[in-house]
Amino acid sequence: MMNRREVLKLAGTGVLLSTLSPFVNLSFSSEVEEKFKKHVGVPMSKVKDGSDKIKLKTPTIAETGANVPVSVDAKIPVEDVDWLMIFVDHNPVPRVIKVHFSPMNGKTFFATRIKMAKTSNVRAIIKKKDGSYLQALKEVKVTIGGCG
Amino acid sequence: MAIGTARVRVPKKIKKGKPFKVQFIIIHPMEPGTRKDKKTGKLIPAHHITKLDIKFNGKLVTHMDVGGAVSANPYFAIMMKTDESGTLEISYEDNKGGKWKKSVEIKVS
Amino acid sequence: MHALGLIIIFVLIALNNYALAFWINNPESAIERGKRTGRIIIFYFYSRDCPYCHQMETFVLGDKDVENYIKDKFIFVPVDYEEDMEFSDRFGVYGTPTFIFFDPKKGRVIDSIFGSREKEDFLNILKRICNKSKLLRRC
Repeated sequence: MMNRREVLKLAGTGVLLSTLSPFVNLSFSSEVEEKFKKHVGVPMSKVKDGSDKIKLKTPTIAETGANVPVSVDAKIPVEDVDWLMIFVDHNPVPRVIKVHFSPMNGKTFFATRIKMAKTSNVRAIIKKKDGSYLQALKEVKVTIGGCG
Repeated sequence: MAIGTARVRVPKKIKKGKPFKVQFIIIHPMEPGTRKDKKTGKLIPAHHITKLDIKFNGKLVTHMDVGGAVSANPYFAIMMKTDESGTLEISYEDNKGGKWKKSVEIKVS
Repeated sequence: MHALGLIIIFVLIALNNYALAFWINNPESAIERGKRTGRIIIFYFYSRDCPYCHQMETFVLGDKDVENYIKDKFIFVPVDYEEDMEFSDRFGVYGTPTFIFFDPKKGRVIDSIFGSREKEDFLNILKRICNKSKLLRRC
């Protein structure tokens, strides 16, 4: 049995958490992390920041979520690359495409156009043949739009 | 244009051993399976390209595992390099059993 | 045994039809049904080549949460903006996607939204319409 003071403390914490919740989106990060681990194969913590090596080009504001151009140009020798994945955090299925290169590609380069459900991080994740993972990411805003 | 048709673009002058860009567009609805048919209100079943292979003179250059979130009539671009001339063949299939191939000649100088 | 099987089949057919009874193509039938069932009509004006409509259809209208909410309280009527110009003009629709929320009992527009929205925003809009209309008991 809790005494009155303990009940009030609990209630207070509850109120505090619920007012903070729009700012502290606890549920979001764990859902994206789970999907990341499922599609990429390793937890987010195992993937290093490769933004100095991977040039990820996307619009900052996408005109429409139906057709968002994405291009990846990495300074990593293509012979060292196992695969490249485009991953969109807030898509129902975040894994958009996986590309397996060969030395005949000459360069670690890939471009396509993707659908986005809403404003989200777009990630270019590279798995190297030595088993390490690198990524570059950019937030792409998907705005309200219409045809008139 | 018929579904599965591809248009491929490679540079006019290709130098031996120098990477060049290969671009192509494939006509395909790329239905993700989450869109509703407006007449019936039922979900339109997923219909999108699933696998794509780029081969040069029979050797595999690039393999792609493609999902439904790639835009309709998808555009793809990769880089390639070769010391010899030959045939570039792009083959792809979708989840409904559609299978297509498109070949272009590559001449190096 | 036979009779039981038949009953099950009929129930399944009825359920299947009920499930899509909230998605009607004919505006007049929709308004009739809306009056009878006390539901709000959502007229969804779309054009076939509009990428914003495609985005709504792909990521929002097909979403389970959105579908369940609409199924429970609304009647959904897609209208081809280019084919039904007269009907579009009646509601002052000038582009797509446009959502017109219509109260069939009072015979008037509750609200209208132009442009694509992401799932959470759209659900909030639906909840707001539900509250505004006072037609429905719980939102």
